[in-house]
Amino acid sequence: MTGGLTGELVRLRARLDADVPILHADLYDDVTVWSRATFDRWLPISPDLSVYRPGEPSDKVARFSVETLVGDELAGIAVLAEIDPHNRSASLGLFLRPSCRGKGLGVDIVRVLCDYGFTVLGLRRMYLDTLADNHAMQRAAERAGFRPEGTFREAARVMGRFHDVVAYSLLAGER
Amino acid sequence: MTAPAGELVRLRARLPADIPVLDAELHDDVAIHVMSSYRPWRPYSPGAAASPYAVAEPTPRSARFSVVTLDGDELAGEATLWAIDSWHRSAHVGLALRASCRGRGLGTDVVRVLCHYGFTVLGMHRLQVETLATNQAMLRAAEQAGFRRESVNREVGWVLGEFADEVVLGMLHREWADLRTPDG
Repeated sequence: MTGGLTGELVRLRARLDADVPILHADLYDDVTVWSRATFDRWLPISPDLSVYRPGEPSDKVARFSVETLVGDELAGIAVLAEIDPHNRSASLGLFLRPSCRGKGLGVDIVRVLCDYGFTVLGLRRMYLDTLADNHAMQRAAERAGFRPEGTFREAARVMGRFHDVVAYSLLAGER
Repeated sequence: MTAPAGELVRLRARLPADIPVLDAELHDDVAIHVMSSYRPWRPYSPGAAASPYAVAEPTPRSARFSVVTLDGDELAGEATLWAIDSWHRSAHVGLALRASCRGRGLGTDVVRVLCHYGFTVLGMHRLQVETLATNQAMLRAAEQAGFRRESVNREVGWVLGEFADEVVLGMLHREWADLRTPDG
């Protein structure tokens, strides 16, 4: 792998201070989309305390900013979380700015995250959970080779009701 | 209401006298322990704070019980509602029985009592069981209590020399309530 964590359309790099106000405005402050992407409870947070602030590296989670190869535009975030060296697995997630959706960047990001997990970290199982009606995320996962594992019924409270969550995985030998 | 009880067992708080028994029979049996935890097994000495069976302060994230038989008041094992999530109103069900208490139908009863605790006492919307695909006793206990299979998570855990599949089962509050209603 040359040129860092680079796919056909995007590169993944560490978070920079300059990313934070853009990510906070475009990702965090869209309450509906943020809630759907994270399943988490949205609370008002000052940009100074943003969840997208740069942090120290960790053995458990790798947080990236995503940049387009053409134009060097900040496209969103990508994350490898729950990194488990004993079971050699991790979960992955991504979140694109509105102007960067619908362009096929998602599958490219999933592939680069898998390169990082399988090749750099030596993992052998990558998995992701997404809402059953998040078709963009499911399409990106399936195009990257992920297989559906099942549906956790009404497992996520999002915007006032309980939603089904679908689980996908990719094993190292399946790529 | 008294402490949670079923037809065969009741669940109560951990007592100091339980700890050496649970350490010896549930933790020190490596093959049994790794079935309920995919973390690397490590030895610890009697009285170690590392014991997962130590008496601990209550926390909103997990409820740890000892299981006692109604007939004979025998310590039968441990039962836990873990990863209690007040936002998604969900939690996970886990249990481990002493060797002498397996194969007697206690597992189903323990799952039912944990469901009563989770759904009725805590107001959960959804409970989940994860178990190794080879753990027929746990699958049977969960399904007899009303859980439905939702997912097979492939090769999730390193278990005694190989990566093992896990089955996820779920039950929703309304399904539990329907089971409780006389005449279906």
